[in-house]
Amino acid sequence: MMTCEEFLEGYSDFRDSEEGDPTRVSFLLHVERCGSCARYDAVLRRGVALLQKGPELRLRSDFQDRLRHRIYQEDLEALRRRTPGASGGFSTLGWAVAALLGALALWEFLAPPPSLILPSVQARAPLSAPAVESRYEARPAVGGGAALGFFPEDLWAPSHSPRHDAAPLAQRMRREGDWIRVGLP
Amino acid sequence: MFARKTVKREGVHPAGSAHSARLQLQTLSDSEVVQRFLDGDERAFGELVSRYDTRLLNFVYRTVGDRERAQDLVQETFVRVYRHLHRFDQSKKFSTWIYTIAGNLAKNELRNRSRNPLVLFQTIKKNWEADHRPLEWEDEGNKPDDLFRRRVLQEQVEAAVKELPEHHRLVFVLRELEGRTYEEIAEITETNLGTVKSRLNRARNNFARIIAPMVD
Repeated sequence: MMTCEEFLEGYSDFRDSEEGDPTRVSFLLHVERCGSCARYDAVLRRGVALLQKGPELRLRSDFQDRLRHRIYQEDLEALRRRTPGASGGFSTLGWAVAALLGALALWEFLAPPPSLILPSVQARAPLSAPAVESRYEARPAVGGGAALGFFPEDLWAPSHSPRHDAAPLAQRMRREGDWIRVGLP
Repeated sequence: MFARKTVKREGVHPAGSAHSARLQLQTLSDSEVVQRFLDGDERAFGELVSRYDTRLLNFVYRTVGDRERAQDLVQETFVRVYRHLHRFDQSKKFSTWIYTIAGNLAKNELRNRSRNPLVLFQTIKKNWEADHRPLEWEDEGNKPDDLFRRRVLQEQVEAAVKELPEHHRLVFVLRELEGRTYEEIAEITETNLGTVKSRLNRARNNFARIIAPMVD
């Protein structure tokens, strides 16, 4: 007599055996007598039948197009690999282009800067009158000429007044020789 | 590409000759179609694709459990077939060879997924649906019709397949859904017959244990 354990261990032999196989007899006898193993057999058959009747998946409508494109790319890649010099690193043409670009860059670096001839610009004559009115009369202090003998007589001209106003304080002097401060009355 | 060249230009109308060539290819065995492709008839590859695309999709889907990924893996399978067909040993069955490629890709996918676990949107959606499903069953007076119940049962049984361990699942799908022989399964899974038998038996026991409360 077959036990339940033997039935379960050898179940695949039973399930996958042909109809007339003599080994089936003992299994069939056990199924008739054992409710538990009969249930096991029924559950498995029903489950597999449900799986087999299940809806079949369909491929995406563009599956063949995608595959065709992918294979085209594969072909192209294989062709590139077969082309001499095209695989791994630069081809001869690539090296030639790189060398040409390098030579151009070197030429640019070594060549002298270009001399530019700019158009001539007309300049106006300097103004004789001061651009800004000054509150001070611009002339050497009395006796200053002697004190500052190194100043030529024509040093002080009205046009120098703005320069006088902007000059450092220490260099300012009124006619009487008083010091004034810039910006103060 | 698949239909870039023709073997012979027969008849006057090129479209007619292409159609007849395609019809002729359909009558050939796998090994003859393979030979045609190796002889330079690229249309033969299209024939191989149309013979196996849906079968492989269902096989891969049942193994990896993700429709989109299954489509990608089927594409990858055909690309490999295209690239390596010249290396195929023609004394073997083409179907076993192509299933081996697809099975290996599916196994790699599952391995990668276990290394980098990520939650698929489909899984979230499924779980979300599962969470809400009992509410539909609470009201006895508003029970779904048989068609709906069957569909739910179908989904549960398919989910049970996904619960099987990877190496059990592959063998189970190949035997129960693809109808492969033990020898073919051994070749596809690159194991021996004894391993196939023991894995299949365990897969069946596990499957029955999972679905028993649903289908009993």
